[in-house]
Amino acid sequence: MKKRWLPLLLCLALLLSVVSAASAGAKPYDGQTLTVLFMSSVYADAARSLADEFKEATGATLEVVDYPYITLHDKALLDLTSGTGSYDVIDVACQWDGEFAPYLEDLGPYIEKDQFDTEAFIDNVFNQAGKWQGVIMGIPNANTPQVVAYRTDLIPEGLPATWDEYCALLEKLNDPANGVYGLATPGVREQYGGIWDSILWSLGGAWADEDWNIVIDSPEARKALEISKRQIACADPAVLSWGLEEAIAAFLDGRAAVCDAWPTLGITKKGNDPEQSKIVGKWTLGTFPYEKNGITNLSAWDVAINAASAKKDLGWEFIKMYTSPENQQRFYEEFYIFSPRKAFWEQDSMKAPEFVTLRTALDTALMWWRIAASVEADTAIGTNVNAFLAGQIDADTAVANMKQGLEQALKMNPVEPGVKNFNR
Amino acid sequence: MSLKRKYDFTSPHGILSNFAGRPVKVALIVLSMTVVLFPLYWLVTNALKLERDYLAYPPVLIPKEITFESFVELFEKNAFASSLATTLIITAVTTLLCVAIGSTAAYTLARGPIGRKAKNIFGVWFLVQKMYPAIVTAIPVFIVMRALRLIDTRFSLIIMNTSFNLPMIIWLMMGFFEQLPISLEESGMLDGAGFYKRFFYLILPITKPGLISAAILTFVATWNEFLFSVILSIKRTKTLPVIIAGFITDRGLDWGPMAAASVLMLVPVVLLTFFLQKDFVQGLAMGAVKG
Amino acid sequence: MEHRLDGKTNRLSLSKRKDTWAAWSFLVPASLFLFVTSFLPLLYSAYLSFFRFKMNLPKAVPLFIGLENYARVFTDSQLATSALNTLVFALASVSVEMALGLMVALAISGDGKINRVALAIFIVPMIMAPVAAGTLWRMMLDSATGVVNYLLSLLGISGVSWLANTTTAMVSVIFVNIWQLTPWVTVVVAAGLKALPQDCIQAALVDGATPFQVFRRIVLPLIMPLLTVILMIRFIDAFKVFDTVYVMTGGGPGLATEMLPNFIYKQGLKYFDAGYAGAMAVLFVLAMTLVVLLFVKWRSWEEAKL
Repeated sequence: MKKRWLPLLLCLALLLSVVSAASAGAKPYDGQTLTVLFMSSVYADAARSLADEFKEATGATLEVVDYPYITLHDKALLDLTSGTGSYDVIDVACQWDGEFAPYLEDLGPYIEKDQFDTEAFIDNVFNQAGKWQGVIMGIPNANTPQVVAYRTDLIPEGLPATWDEYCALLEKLNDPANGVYGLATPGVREQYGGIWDSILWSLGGAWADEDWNIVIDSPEARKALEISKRQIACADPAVLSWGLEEAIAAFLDGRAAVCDAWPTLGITKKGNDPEQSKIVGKWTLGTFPYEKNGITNLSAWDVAINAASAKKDLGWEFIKMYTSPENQQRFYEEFYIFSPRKAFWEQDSMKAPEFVTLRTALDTALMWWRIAASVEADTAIGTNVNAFLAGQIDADTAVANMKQGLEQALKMNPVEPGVKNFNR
Repeated sequence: MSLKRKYDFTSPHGILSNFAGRPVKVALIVLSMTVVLFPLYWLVTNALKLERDYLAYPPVLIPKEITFESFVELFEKNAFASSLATTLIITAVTTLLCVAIGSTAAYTLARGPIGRKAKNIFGVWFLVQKMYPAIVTAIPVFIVMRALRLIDTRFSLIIMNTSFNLPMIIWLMMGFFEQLPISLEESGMLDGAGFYKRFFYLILPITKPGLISAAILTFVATWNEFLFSVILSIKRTKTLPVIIAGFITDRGLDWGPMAAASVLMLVPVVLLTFFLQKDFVQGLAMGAVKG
Repeated sequence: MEHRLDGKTNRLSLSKRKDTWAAWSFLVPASLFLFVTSFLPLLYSAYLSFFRFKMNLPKAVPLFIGLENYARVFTDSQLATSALNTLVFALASVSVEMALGLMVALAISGDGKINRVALAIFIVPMIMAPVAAGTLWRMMLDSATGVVNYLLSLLGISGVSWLANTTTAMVSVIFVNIWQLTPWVTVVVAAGLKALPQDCIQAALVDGATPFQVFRRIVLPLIMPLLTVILMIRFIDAFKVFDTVYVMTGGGPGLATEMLPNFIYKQGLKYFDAGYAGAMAVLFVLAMTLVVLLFVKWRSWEEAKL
């Protein structure tokens, strides 16, 4: 009896060891959890969709934490400066690159080791999202220039190339009596600043010059305020308290002719879904007026590894997966996230006129300051523009306050020597 | 003559309520009840409405169909269960801690054989502590917690919540202890009972209502605490108020789950204050009387 | 007693000493706890207020700058705006809360069923988390889909953008505070009314006084000390407002609803400027202490009158 069981047991043991060896080999990070931080909405959703693939490839569980834009910065910084390492991987908005860089891992060695192709990304985007002072601390994974969504049935000829014409168009289409406004915009102070910046820059204005001298007190700034005022007059009075959601909802509901609320965060996904949109097939994307230089605001995100993380290698696996060409393609198809990979834009499906405009804009689009002072600076701009539009202060006060705010931001967050202002 | 007036003079309170005439009294009661009840009604119905109903305009005043999907969504998409557990643990431990060390400190200040001057100093110190807003200690606490690597732990939140509520509890319990007749303790002393014995066997059993009030007030305050929860939490210790605030800043139009979360958050405290209403009110009143 | 003490001096003085130790042992835990978790941080805040310390810069070393942070407090126009806003908020909410709370407390001061039910219902707003209340009202005040605008439209009043207009935003925030805390005033005053001595009132009635006279001449003076304390508590609490504003307006539009706690929070935990936040904290505490002292004086004056 014993003689018959023994070979059976031996076979079983052999089988088990082979199986366990195979599975151990295929899942090096078995049992671990990787925590990643993304902005709520499509970016976090895209990350979540990777959970299964990630587990298959590495054996580790993916935990996605998300926060809305306004609190995302504070939460990320809280973790980074406390060295807690709660988040292993963070999706950094490029304007925070400078502030977060000291706490993020230099990805150079990883790129070397895996021969990661860094040339595959659009240069202008990579320079502003992921590269900081010669070090690569993040890989760009999402980008969009500030674009506008507009109604093709109301504006069949496309958007004009100067701000004057653009405002006149909005005024013409503004018809509150029939429930349609010219413009739907996120007027809340944390969001509108970015839109105002696009106006300012395309007029040739800037916050500061290359050496960080504040130049915002300029005729361009005053003109930009005027233009904003004209536009807001063509929008729902409640617009000054609207965030992205409200503005997008208004546009999808057919209550506005033009919407400049980062359309890729909602309109592209829901616009042609009859369940969620009343304007199916009647809208498209366009850019802001070219005016002097066509410079518009760039929104770009780069995924980076927390220097205090205990799972850096695993984090790098995640980064490779999130930014891989296949997944970036899928993210576009499912979540409408535009990829910063050059190859993505060269496909036939991206040759339609509106996409070509986007691609061109990506070569010149700018983010505002990327140093630590950017948060205070952005708030100074946003708050004062918002106060001006609400009628609390006049244009001169607004500009003076913005100047003071920017100077204060720089004073409290001094720029490291040798860092030039390549942004605006 | 005057006794024949229509005022209900058998109850002096009937006099008080008619202080400006009957119509004013009725108006006040009706108005105040409406202003309080309608929003609560709105909250509960929104938690139970279908998605198309809570996003509808004109708003659906009386929903024809109700559903629990908002509640389900909370648990599936928002890790509500873990947040609930975390908040419960933090609140329970804080309450126990506060009542334990608060009531003992209060007894000493009320009846302890320590000098008058000492009592005054401590009393005033605790009073002043009660006064300033949490924000003034927020940054130093953050720095220290960061250095001690206690960010995002339940421990840090328990510590801070206890710290906020202690001064109030101490003053509250002092009020209750001072109300007790001195003869009680004197007889205890005569019987040879020491300080501890007197406290645990004589005083405590009678001041149970006081302890209950203290416990309820601490529970409610900690359950609703937001500022430090937002500062000291990253992902593991997101309490319920933090989750609710998270709804507003991002998913601005998800009224259903937002309402559901608020309703679930209200349920424990409403039950608590409903069943222990007398103690709760007594606690509030005592807190005001003692100032 | 003296004789007994004579005979048993040693035993009693020993137990007295044991008692004193026991009493201190009860006091020490709470005191130590508060000292470490509340008083020391305040001192640390004060210490930091003399430095420039930006916590988000990696090699941040506090730089001594003397009274520069304090100077900045007095020249910061945004801080001035938020201080003013907070003051307006406190004065407006507290005055309405006191008046309404008192009137409603009087109205429900009977023992009848309606009064008891009303009291139970009034408890709910005040135990609601301020974030939940803020969220609820934000939902109701939404200009497009909010039920408040809808109800107003039924009365013929066109929609108001509650949270987008500088004046109405402030009104909304004040209103939510009133909504939540008038019940608190009501409940406490109601408890106080219950404790009033009945004989004065009865006597006045026999003398033919109207209810209003009874209220003004007898009740009001009697509950004045209580009202003073309630006023002080509500006023001081109003300066701590943070949750509702955070959730309803975030301080906007512009700076219309920016309050002091929100402002300090931003400086400290968004811009990570520990020094400036420290200076503001110190001044805030000093101001509050002053207010408390004034109120305490007022209250003892009221009590003396009785």
